[in-house]
Formats: sequence, C-alpha cells, structure tokens
Amino acid sequence: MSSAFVDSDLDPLEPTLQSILDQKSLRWIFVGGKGGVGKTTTSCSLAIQLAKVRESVLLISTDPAHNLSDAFNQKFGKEARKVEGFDNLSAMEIDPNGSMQELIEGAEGSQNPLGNMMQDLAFTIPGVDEAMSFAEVLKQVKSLSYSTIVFDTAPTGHTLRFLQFPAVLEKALSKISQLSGKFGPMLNGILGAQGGPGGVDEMMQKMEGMREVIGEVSKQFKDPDLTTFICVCIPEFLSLYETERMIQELNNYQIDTHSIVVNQLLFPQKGSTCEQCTARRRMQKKYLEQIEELYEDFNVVKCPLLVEEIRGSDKLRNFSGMLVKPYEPPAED
Amino acid sequence: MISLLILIVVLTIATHLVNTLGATAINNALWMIYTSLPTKISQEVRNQTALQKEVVKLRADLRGTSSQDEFAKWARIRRVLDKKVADLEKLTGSVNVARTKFDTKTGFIRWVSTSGAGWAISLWYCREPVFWIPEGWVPGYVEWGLSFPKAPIGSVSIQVWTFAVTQVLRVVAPIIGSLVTSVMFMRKPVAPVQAGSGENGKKEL
Repeated sequence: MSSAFVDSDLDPLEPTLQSILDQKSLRWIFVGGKGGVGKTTTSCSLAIQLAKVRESVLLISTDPAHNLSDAFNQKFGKEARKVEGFDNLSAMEIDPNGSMQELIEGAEGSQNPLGNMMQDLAFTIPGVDEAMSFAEVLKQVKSLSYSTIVFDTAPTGHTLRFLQFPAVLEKALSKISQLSGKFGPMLNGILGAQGGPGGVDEMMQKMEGMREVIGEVSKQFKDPDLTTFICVCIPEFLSLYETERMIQELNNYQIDTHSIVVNQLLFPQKGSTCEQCTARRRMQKKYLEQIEELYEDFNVVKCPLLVEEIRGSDKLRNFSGMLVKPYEPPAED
Repeated sequence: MISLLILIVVLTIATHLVNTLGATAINNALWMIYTSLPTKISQEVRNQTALQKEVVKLRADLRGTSSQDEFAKWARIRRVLDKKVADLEKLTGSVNVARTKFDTKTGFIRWVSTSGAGWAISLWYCREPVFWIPEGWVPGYVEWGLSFPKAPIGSVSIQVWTFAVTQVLRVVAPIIGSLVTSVMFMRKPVAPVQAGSGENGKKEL
C-alpha cells in the first residue's frame, strides 16, 4: 500500500456539504430523517446554498405536515412559486395522498362498475398509491426546467419504498394481465354491452405507462451522478438507530448517500452552570464519537442548536452558512 | 416357478417394511447419505450449516453489545448479521428446492421398486402358475377361485398368492414388531442399570 493511499484513508472527509454543491451533475437531492430532527431547516438551507451556485433550484416538500411555508414565512402551494428574496429558488408543497385521490377520481370518469373493480384490484398492490403519486409529481417536475431539485421528504422511513416498485409492479401487472387475458374478453363484452368506454385494456395501458415512468425515475435515482440522499439526525440513540437503518435501506435500493447532518448540537459556554446542558452535551458527545467512528466514509456536518427558531429567509440564510463552513464551537471547560 | 413364489414374498415384505418405516425416515436417511457425498449440493449444505453457526454467534455478539454505549460496534455487527441472514435465507431456499427435487425422485424410485414392481410382475406373470396344487384337494369352484383371474385351472395365480402373502404379513408383522421392540426394551435397561430403572419408575408414575 502506498503512503498516499493510507493518508487519504486516514483523513476524515470534510465536515461540510461542499461536495454536493460542487457536484454539478446532481439533479435530485433528498433530505430525510426522523421527525423533528431539522429536515426542513436543513433542506431549506441546502436549497439556499445551492441557489448560489446553480441556475435554478426547486424545493419540494412531500411531507403532509407542510413546513416550508412556516420556514420561509410565505405561503406555498401545489404550484412552484418563487421564494421571496431569491431569484432562482422556488418552492412547492405537495401531498402524495391528495394527488393520489385526484388520480383515482380522474380515472373514475367512466361510470362502469366492473372497470372500477379492476382499478380497485390494481390499487391493492402494496405501495402503488405512493409510487403513482410520486410518478405523477415527477412527471410534472420534469416538464419544468430546474437544474436541481431538493426533496424535503416525509419523516416516515418508507418514502423511497416506491423505488423497489418497478419490480413489484412488474409481477403484479403480469398477474393482472393473465387475469384480464382470461376474463378480459368476457368483461369487455359486458362493458361493451353497457356502452362504457375503454375498460380493462385501457386500464392496463395506464398501468403500463405508469410502470415505464416509475422505471425510468428509479433508474435516475440509482445513478449516483444524478441523485444523492442527505441523512439528517440528532445525536440521540433513536435518531441514530433510524439513520443507520435508513442508510442500510438506501444501500439496498442502491441510492447514493454520503452525507450526514447532525443537528441540535449543544455547546455550553465556558463556565456555564446549566446542569442539563452539560449532561446533555456529554451524551451528545458520546453519540457524536460513535457517528464519526461508524460513518468514516461520510461527510458529517455538525450544526449547533441555536437559541432562536430558524424562521424567515434571513435566519435560514445565516444558518445555511454552517453547511459549507464548519461551525466553530465556543471554548469549553 | 419356485423363484416367482419367493420373489413375491420378498417384494411384499420389502413393500411392507418401507411402508411401516415411513417414507420420511427413509428419505431423511438417503438425504444424509446423498449430502455426505462430494457433490455441489453437499457443499451448499455444509455452507448452510456454517452460516447458521455464524448467524447464531453474531446474534450472541449483538446481544452482548450495548447499542447505546457502543453504537458503532453494534451497528457494524448488525450490518454483518443482516448480510449473513440474507445469504442464509437464499442458501436455505436453494437447498430446500434441491431437497424437494430429491424427495420427489426418491419417492418415485421407491414406488417403482416396491409397489410398481409388484404391479408389473403380477401383470407380466398373470398367465403363469405360481405353483400347482395336487388334483382333487379342493373342489372345482375353489380351484377356479385360486387360479383367478388368468392362471391355468389347478394352479395358484400370482394375484391370489400376493393377496395371501399380504394377509399373512398383515397378521404376522405386528407380532414380530412387538417381539422385536420388547426384546430391545428388555435389553436396554441392562447396560445403564440406574438410568433404566429410573425410566421405569417414571413410566409407572
């Protein structure tokens, strides 16, 4: 082994998200973690930093409890809207379940019960709702021309479950098409007699189309040049546990992830007499050491717990600086 | 003709033995022999056993590591464990498939060499007499019955002979079986005297 290699091996990766800002090819950036660890703050800050170096950035929240509006003190909706105070940063809030409802209602235009039965059957495939709504959103987003899209994901761990979806759907579709191959003519005969348009074949075509979209999207998501995932956590056991599980899951899905943001770090000032603060600091230190030991091949960004809420563009802008320039903690005892 | 007579007896006894010992027991024994031969599947079975041991050891390690105090170590063990468990599942799946195939094959062979062979022989030799009975021993209609269905009148047909052997075996086999077990039961306590007496005591209770 050459000494240079050893050196690079020993050097910890820089504790910033600079590498993500530098990687111009990145198109999809996901920010995820357990609830309440500061995902929204982190994703907003990252979007602000990205806006400085990219042509145009879109920030999307898929969390049903929308926080972007609160973070920026500005109302966002289903359509992308410019964030006040930025030229090239837009944001939108989408509700995966809501868009799913619309999809079903839109599809239910034809008034025949058997067609609906086939649809109900199709929607019983696990994860199909999530996947289809995501696919719908991504189709929208793709038609808009943003150079980078940041996702503020919902706190549930299975946001990315739909990435396994093409395989599942493929199986399910082959089953359904077997079924409709056998009973389709019969069903169509009945439907035709009732004068309903389309029917089983149309339904199958729709599903097939969705599968193609999802398949293409998941191919893009698995490309580390296009997509990365940023894990946000706080130095506490459960958060760490969830993060480890999430990272393993992402590995299974073959999604690149090489950054962890550790939020809400306490840095009591010298001579602080706050008993809780020092006790908590000790605990956080323990987990921080574990994080650094376990994730030596990750960029681990450390952000302090501030004394104020981070709301509004200016405060977010200030906070976002810590993602690229490591925070200098005050001297400790 | 004497050979046909004995062949039927031997075959019937063999069929009976296979049926009483049980297909599962025989399959298990054959599988043990098969997997101890140097084949690809035996390698897989060995790997499976090794993996199982590793998984058990890793589980113990995981239990022995505090997830709160040594998270990094715990998570590393966990990663290895998850990978091994996935490997093990895959291997178990392929071994199970092989086992099912093996069971089907041995089941078929077993059937062919016992019941199937019996059927074939009785069909093949249905016109041949197994042995003749002296003339005048039994009345004519009994002679006809003994030669049923196709053997010449005055002889015993293979079907009737097979039926007779089966019936005798059905009565005699349990007696032999109970004799054998009682002999084994009487012998057993002789070697480990105290254990045997203890066992007896328990049974009486």
